[in-house]
Formats: sequence, C-alpha cells, structure tokens
Amino acid sequence: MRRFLRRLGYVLRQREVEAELAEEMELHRAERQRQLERDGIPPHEAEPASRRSLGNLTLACEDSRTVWMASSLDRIWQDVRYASRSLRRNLFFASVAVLTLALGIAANAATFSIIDAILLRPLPYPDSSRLVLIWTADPARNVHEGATSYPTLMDWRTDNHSLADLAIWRERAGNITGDAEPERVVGALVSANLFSVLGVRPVLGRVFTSEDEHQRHPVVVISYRLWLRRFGGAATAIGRTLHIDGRSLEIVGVMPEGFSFPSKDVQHWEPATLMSAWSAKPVMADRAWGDRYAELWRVVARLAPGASVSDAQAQMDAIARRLAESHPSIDPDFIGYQTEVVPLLEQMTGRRLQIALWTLLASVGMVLLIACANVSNLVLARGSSRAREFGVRAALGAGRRRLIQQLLVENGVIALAAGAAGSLAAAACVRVVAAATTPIPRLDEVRTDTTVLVFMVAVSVLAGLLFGVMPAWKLSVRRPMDALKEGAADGRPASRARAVLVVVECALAVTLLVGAGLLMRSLLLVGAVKTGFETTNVLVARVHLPIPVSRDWRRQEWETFGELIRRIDAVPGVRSAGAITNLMTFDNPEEAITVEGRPVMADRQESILINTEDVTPEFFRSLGVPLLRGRFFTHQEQNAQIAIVNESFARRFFPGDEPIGRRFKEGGPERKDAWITIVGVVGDMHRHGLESGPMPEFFFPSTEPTMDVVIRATTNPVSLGPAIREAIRSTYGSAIVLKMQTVEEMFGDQTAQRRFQTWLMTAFAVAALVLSAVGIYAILHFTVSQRRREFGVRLALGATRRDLFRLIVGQGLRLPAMGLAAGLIGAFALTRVIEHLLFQVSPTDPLTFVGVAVLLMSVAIVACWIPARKATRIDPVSALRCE
Amino acid sequence: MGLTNQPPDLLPGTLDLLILRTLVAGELHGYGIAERLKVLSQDVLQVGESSLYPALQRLLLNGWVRAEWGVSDNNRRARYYTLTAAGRKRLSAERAEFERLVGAIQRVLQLA
Repeated sequence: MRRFLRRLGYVLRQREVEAELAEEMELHRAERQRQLERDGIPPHEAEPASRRSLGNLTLACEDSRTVWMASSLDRIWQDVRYASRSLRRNLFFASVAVLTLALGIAANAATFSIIDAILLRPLPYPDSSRLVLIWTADPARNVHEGATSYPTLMDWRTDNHSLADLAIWRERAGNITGDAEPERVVGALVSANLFSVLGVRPVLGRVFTSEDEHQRHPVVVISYRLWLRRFGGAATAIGRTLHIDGRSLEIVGVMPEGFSFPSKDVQHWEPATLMSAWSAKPVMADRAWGDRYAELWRVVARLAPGASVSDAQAQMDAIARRLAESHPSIDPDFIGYQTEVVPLLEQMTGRRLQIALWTLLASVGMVLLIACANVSNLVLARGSSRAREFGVRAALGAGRRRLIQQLLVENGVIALAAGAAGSLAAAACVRVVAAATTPIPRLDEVRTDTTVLVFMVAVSVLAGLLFGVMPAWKLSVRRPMDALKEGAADGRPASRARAVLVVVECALAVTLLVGAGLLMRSLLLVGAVKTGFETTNVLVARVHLPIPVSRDWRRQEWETFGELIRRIDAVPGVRSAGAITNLMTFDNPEEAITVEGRPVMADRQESILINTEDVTPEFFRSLGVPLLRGRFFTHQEQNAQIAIVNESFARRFFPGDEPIGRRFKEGGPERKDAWITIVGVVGDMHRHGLESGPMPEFFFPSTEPTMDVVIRATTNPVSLGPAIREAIRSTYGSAIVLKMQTVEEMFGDQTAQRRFQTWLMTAFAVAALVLSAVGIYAILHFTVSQRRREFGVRLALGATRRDLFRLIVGQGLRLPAMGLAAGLIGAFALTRVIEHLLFQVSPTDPLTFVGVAVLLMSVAIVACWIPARKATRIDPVSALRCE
Repeated sequence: MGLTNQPPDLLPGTLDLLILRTLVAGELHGYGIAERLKVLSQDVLQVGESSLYPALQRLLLNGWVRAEWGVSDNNRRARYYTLTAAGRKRLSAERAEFERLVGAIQRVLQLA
C-alpha cells in the first residue's frame, strides 16, 4: 500500500521528479569531470570524457522511470492507448456501441434525476423525514384525509408519546383590500406552534407565540411573495396593517422565500384562535372548539426522537378505540376516530406517482440491460473476427489475465465515452424537464445535483461491467492453437453466449411492451370516457362577488349572478353561460340522505358519498347536460326546497321508480331539515376526474359568493376573455375573477400524470424493441456470413433458395420466440405491480399480451428478413472457392 | 509485484545491498555513493551510473532510503540519500542472506 502511494506520488509529480533526476545525474557528471581534471586531464577533454564514462544518460533516466512505472498502472495505460487506437480504426463499431450505451445511460440518469427531485430529495424543512400528517379516515366508507376536532386533538397530544408536537391548520380564502388592487388569496388559520413543528423561522419579524393564541390579538404572518407584492419587500411592513375581509390584522412576521404550508397557494397565516369573530371569550367556551364532532382541523406532527411512523400509528389506533368507547357518535357525518399517519413527503407525492416513478426507473433499467446485451453482442461478434489477433498474442506469451485486462480496458473506454455522452444528454434533458410547467409535484425542482452525478457515474461503471466482463471472459478462453488453426471461425462458447443474450433482450423487451401496452390502453380508455357535458370551447371563469352581508344578500347574490350571466350571454361569440359552485373540484362529499317514506339504512357501512352543488337555472343547458325527466329550475326559485338529481342518484335511491315529486332530506332522519322535492333528473357528469366514476349528486337552485361561471362559445373561447371580464366588471364593479381556464385545460391537468408515465413507458418499450430487433438482426447477419460456405454447399447440392430462406428465418425466429415466452411469463408476474396505475384494464389483459406477441414476432421477422435475403443471394461457386 | 530490473553483472540484489551498506556511515549523494563503492572495493566494483540511478529509485520506491536536497562540497544542489529504519532492517537481512549464499558458493568451490 505504501509502495502504491509512493508510486502514485511519483506519477503525479512525474515531470518534477524527472527534472530532479536529470539534475542529479548532471551533478554526477560534473563531479566526475572535476575528478578527471584533478587527475591532470585538461578541461576540454575532461568534459566529453566524463560524458563517455557515464554512458547513456537517457537510458539511465528511462530505466529509473521504469522502476516506478513498470506496474499494472503502466500496463493499463498502455492498454488504454492501444484500445483507443483500435477503436478509432473501427469507428463504426465504436460509435454504435457508444451511442447505444449513451442512450441507455442518458435515459436512466434523466429518469433518476426526476425520482431524485420528487421522491428522494428532502422537503425544505429541517429533518423533514420526521414530519407526518395525521388524517382521520374511515376506509370502510372510502373516506380518507379527513379533519379532526379540537378535543380529539387534545387527546392525541396528551396520549400519543410517539409525537414530539402536533400543530393544526385550516385553510381559508379571503379578500385582501387596502392601498393596492383588491385580491383574493388563500390563507390559513394555524396553531402558534406550526412554524416550530415545521422548523421554519421568519426572515423578518417573528412567528406566533402562545400569547397570540390566548390574547386573541389580531396578528398575521405573511408569505414572502405577498410581502414583495403588497409591501415592496420593505422592512417597515412589520407592524403595518393587513385588511382581510374587512378585518384589520397587524403584520408581525414575514416567512422566507419559497415557504408555503399547507399548499403552494397559501400566503398568510393567522392564529387559529381568530377563527371565530374576535372576542375576549376563553377559547374553549366557543362551540366550535369544544365540539367533539366538529371536524375542522388538519394536523401535522413531528415524530418524537426514536419513534417511527408505525409507532405513532399504533398509538393512534389505541387512542381511537378508547375514544370510540367514551365518545360514541351517531352522526352519520362524523368520520370517526380512526386515523392514518402519513409521512409528509409521501402525502405530497402520492402513492400512484411513487409507483409510477419506480416502475419507470425499473423499465429504463431494463432498457439499459438490453443496450448492454446488444453491445456485449457486438463485442463478441467483433471478438470472433479478432480471434487470430488474440491467438497470436496468447501464442506470444500473453497470459489470460493480460488478455482479459486488455479487453476490459477496451470496453472500459467505450463505457467511459458512453457515460460522458449519456450524462451530458441527461443533463440537457433535465434542463428541459425543469423548464416545463406540469402539475406534477416538485418536478420543476429537478436538477443535476451530486446524487444524480453519483448515479450517472455508478450507472456508467455498472454498464461497462455488464457488457464488458462476459465477452472478455469468453473471448480469452480460446486456446491459441485453435484460433490459429481455425482461422476466423466462431468459437462455440461465444456463439452460445450471443444466443442467450438475444433471448434475454427479447424477454425484457416483451415485459416492457406489455407494461407500456397496458398503460396505453388505460390512457385510451380514460380518453374515451364520456364526460356527460360539453368540453370543447368552454371557458370557466371563477368569479367572486364580495356582496356585503345584509338581510337580503343571498337573493341579491342570486340576482347579480343571473344578471352577470345574461350580460356574458350577450357577448358576441358566446352561445350560453351558467354557474355552479365547483365545476371540477369538490370539497366535502355529503353524508347519507333520508328518503321520505323509506326506512333509513340502518348500517352506516352502507351509506355512500353524495355530492351536492348550487347551480343557476341556466347551468345544465349551458353545458349541454341532457335533461332525462322533469324540468330545470327557474329564476324565481332561489333557495326553494327543490332539487335536480343526476342519473346515478335516481338509480341509487329510486331504482325502477319515478323520482320526480319524491322528497328527501340531507343527513339522518333525526335532522329537522325541511324536505326537498325532486323536480328533474339530469345525465351524469364526470366532473371529478375521468377516472373516478360518477357519484350520486343533487343540485340546488342557489348561489355562493364564489362560483364557476361556465361559458360555452361558438369558437375558441380564449379570445373572448377580455370581453367576458368586461361584462363581469360592468355587472358588479368589485367582482373578482380568480381564474379563467378552458375545460380542456382543466381536464388536461387531470390526465397530465397519466400521459407523462404512459408516454415515457412507451418510449422505453419502443427503445427496447428497436434494440432487440438490432440484436436479432446482428446475430443472424453474423451467422449468415459465418456459414457462407455451408450455404454454398447446400445450394450446390440442390437446395432451393426458398429452402435456404426458410431455414434461416426459422432458425432466426427461434431466439425471439424463446424470449417472447420468457417475457410473457415475466410480464404475467410483474404487471401486478402497476395495477394501481391501470384504468379499467386487468394487469393480465389478454388483448395486450396477444398484441405484444404479434408485434414482437413481426419485428423479429423483419429483422431476420434482411440477413436471410442476403443468404439466398450467395453464389455457390464463389462461396466454395473462397477460403 | 516483484522487484524488477536487476542490475547486470552482479549477483541479484547485490547492488542494492552495497548501496545500503555505503549509506550506513551517513548520507551521501549519487556520485558519492559511486566513489565510495569504488574506493571501498579498491577499484574492483565500478558501478555504472546506468545501474546506480535505477537502483536508487528502486530503493526509494521500497522506502529503504530517503532522499533530500542539500548542498554538495563545491556548493551545488545535490540529492543526499539516507538510510531509513526499514532500510537498516533490510540491510541486515540481505547481508545475512548474502553471507549464507557466498559461504555456500565457497564451500562448493573448495570441495569440487
């Protein structure tokens, strides 16, 4: 080891050391000259004499150098130079090999960098892996991500020792008014400890203290963005007043750039105790705070040191059992005490995205394997034609180790070049991806950071080993005698190895193709889902009307929206308009309902989620939703006790019955609400995502302060934007348009993730297929040129060209057929992994499996065709004569 | 990794042994070592520079000598070699081995 270090030191300072050596020898010569002069030889003779006596100085230097350099290091360097020379001479082989591997490495590195950005890099909170969200849930009713009540929260806080601290929040939108343009922003009510649980400090001022909670003095912490926008980033913002919904809040702190919690939209935070109207009453006296069943709060917690997520979950489960006994509930709205403890990062990325990303990485890894197999194949093929070279080298005394080393170095040079090219390409891809705007969380954070660089290096090295070791081993096996005797004939072990490689390639490609095929079918099926309403040329404007609360404000709101819709209708190019509370998103699906004259469903488990929205009379017509029975609402029916239900609702609650005229009420039978009469039935709308089936819905003739105004236009509606804004402004001066989007854009966002994973997977599968085809072609092409003589003999003995063609294609197809069988079995076992990513397609969908089989065999036939054609053109005479 | 490039015309390893021996008395530069060898062997051993310097490099590589730049008698920069502890150990081992070998050869010569 010491020797190695000294050697390394020498190599690093080689120039210097050699200069020193030269100086040393010159001194030696000078001393010798002095000696000669002392012996009486005149200086002009002494100098050349000293040189003579010294002998060949250069040789001495060389020898000294060899002492240091004559090592495996030196030999490797020799091999590297030899390898690059030989690769330069065979540029075609080299570039095909480098390009194939570079593509594989680039695809892997790019995919990994995406995984790194989304799944591996920690969230921007200190020790963020210790942060968890605690949701209430009732899996039996398919309820997840529920909120919780304050009393229950206090039980968690005291009884769960796996949690260091818990904080709560609740989002709330508000209108900010003041000096600048009024705007509607999302804020959050939070407990004072939220910032300390997350571990984030303000850049300016302070965050909340428990005093802020108890004194209930109206204070607010604002986001960096809001600070820049409304206060120009001035330090004097602290202490100034922010007006939200007519309340005046003192700004006490500004959070750092990029901080937002719980979502990206949140721009200000108020102490949770400001939730109710400001009063000096003690907190717990408030009904909302003391109510065990008022599920208002969402919870984030930091795990106690040493505790795991499952520890926390176990304690939560125990607490849930206890609470269910001490505080049972009969309210069907109440979610219950069961919880789901979810790491924050997992919550942000989502399970499906995680599965999708890891599947993609595995797939792209398979592509790299195929690329390696192909290059291995190339190296073996090239090695066969270099058999003589190796034979000669072995005969001249090169040991097997030495031959393997030389081959490995040659392959290493290829891998290195491919790694460099691939990494550059990946870095370019990463830039493109980072610049693209997608709704996929954290994708815009993708970078070529150290982790990615390490991965690139590791993948390049691994690829080099994968494709390089086996051929090096195989090629070095041949005995020199055989090689020299047989000439260029292919050695048996190498050709068997090549056949195995082709089979493996095909198997991997089939597995990928099946995966991609299943995803592609899912994407097509999602695309074919009938939305149940018009989606082309529809613009959605989210409009907020800040109508002051008064005795008659609801009616005023209804009429203002009516007027607003009439004015939009009048805009040239608009066909129809209407309004609904939420076109695409939905907050809290309702509870069960009670149908008049029908026994209540006794079992909670059976109750299903029902959604409800407010709509204006024009809504259904404006979106072309078919009226199946009954009638639409009229403008006079604001807040009347009537409802329009959808088809699913009618089918669920009145199977085979006439629903029109029947009455129902929200919630259980104990509720004192008035009965609601059904006046119409409309078709189902897939408003909540194409992938979730329609749920039972009912609609009220009513409005909310914020509505989605849907506008169907005769042409592309985007150009109508300004005219529509003007129509809204002219109706109600302080109306705020929060967002304007086409329905297609909204739907596009919903399928973005699916399209992303499907197209990537398809690209990988196609790459795999092409690479395998090249592999099949290469091995057959090689075989044909090896067996030229044999084919010549066959032809000479009377075989027809057609026989020959059949023979070659038949033999050529054997390998892909074996690969296909193995691949289909593999796919059968593996596609279950992506079951969650599929839509209405079984992981063992026969159509996909058969399709892939047909596709692979067709491609294989094409790949065999060309070499087989070449074989039939062999001239028997020349084939026999050559050699 | 064995030793490479044995000096010619001497028993294998002898040159290294002789160089190490000259350094026991103290540090010397390359020319000094050559001179000392010549004097001590009464002009029998004329070490060629072409084997002296590679040998010195070998000793350096093995860590048996250390080299430092100093000033020669006539005020020129010169590299002085000193024996290291490992070198001293090596010398005694080599010497014992050498004596055993020479003794054996002598016995053969006398008896044959």
